[in-house]
Amino acid sequence: MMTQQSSNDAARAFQSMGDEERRLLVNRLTLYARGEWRRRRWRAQLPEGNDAKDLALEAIIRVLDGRRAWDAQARPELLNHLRDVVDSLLSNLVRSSDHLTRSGHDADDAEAHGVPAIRHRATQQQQLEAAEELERIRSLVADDPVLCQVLAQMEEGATPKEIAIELGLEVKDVNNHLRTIRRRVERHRAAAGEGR
Amino acid sequence: MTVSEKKRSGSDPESVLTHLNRCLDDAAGETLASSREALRAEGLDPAVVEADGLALIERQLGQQRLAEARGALDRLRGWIQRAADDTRDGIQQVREELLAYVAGEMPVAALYRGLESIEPEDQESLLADIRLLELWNDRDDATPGD
Repeated sequence: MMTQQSSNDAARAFQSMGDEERRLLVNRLTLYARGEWRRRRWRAQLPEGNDAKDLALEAIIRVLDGRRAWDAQARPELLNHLRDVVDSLLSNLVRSSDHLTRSGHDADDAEAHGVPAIRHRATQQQQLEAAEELERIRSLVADDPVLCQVLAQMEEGATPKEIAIELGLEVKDVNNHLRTIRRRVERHRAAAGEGR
Repeated sequence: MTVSEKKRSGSDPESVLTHLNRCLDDAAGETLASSREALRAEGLDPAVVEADGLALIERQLGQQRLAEARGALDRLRGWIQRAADDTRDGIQQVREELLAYVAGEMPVAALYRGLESIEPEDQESLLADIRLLELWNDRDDATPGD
């Protein structure tokens, strides 16, 4: 059976991992969940009591018990499949929160604008927030020409490997630059009291 | 093709930011040390995250092994039950056939299943053997002192 087979794929993958590999996977998935949580938070007042670690662990449970079975043939990277599961868990939280928000609206307002109008406003708001965030990140690396170049390439949709080729660097150097950008963003968020 | 050549013309700020954030997360989680540093920067304790994650994985794998072992045990029990049923049925059938034979309701040949499927040549050979045995028997009876 597909589900049984696929949950066995995930079990086999976890069993073949060493302790360090499992730790790294848990850390990376938690980081991903944390980032996505923060990014989507403005869209809706997400329920308290769900943090990044819980989301990451819930994704692992669902993959291992077969509810969100992993097909190793279709999606070779287990981490990417787990990220998809985190995405859908977060989307469900946002949807349920959106529903609660809408049901809490004034009835006349909801009737006048309807659900699509509310969603359209949210999309515009989302784009505005994203544009502001990008501008903030640019200003945080403005003093370093290499970081500016790396960031510009990222904004064009390049991967670290592509940036390494474009700028004549090693991939590990590009990753070091990306970590520097991330640290600056984190420091700025911490100073501004965001995302905690 | 260079990166600038394949610039995404229709990329909106949200898509660009999503791509950027995911690449930043990937770079942060490249090694165990860098992933721990990034978790700490996010206000999370890496020791707790890792301990909880490892414990959960072990628990889930253990539950799965237990479920598989239960399934294997159920299959084995089913197999044993079927074998026991078949044996019981077989013994009962032989017992009934023997009783029928003793009661004279069935020729002895009927005890041997598959006799009907013997080829005509083999049947003739068997009959020839029986006639030979009968001749030997008659000869022994007719030879006093032997």
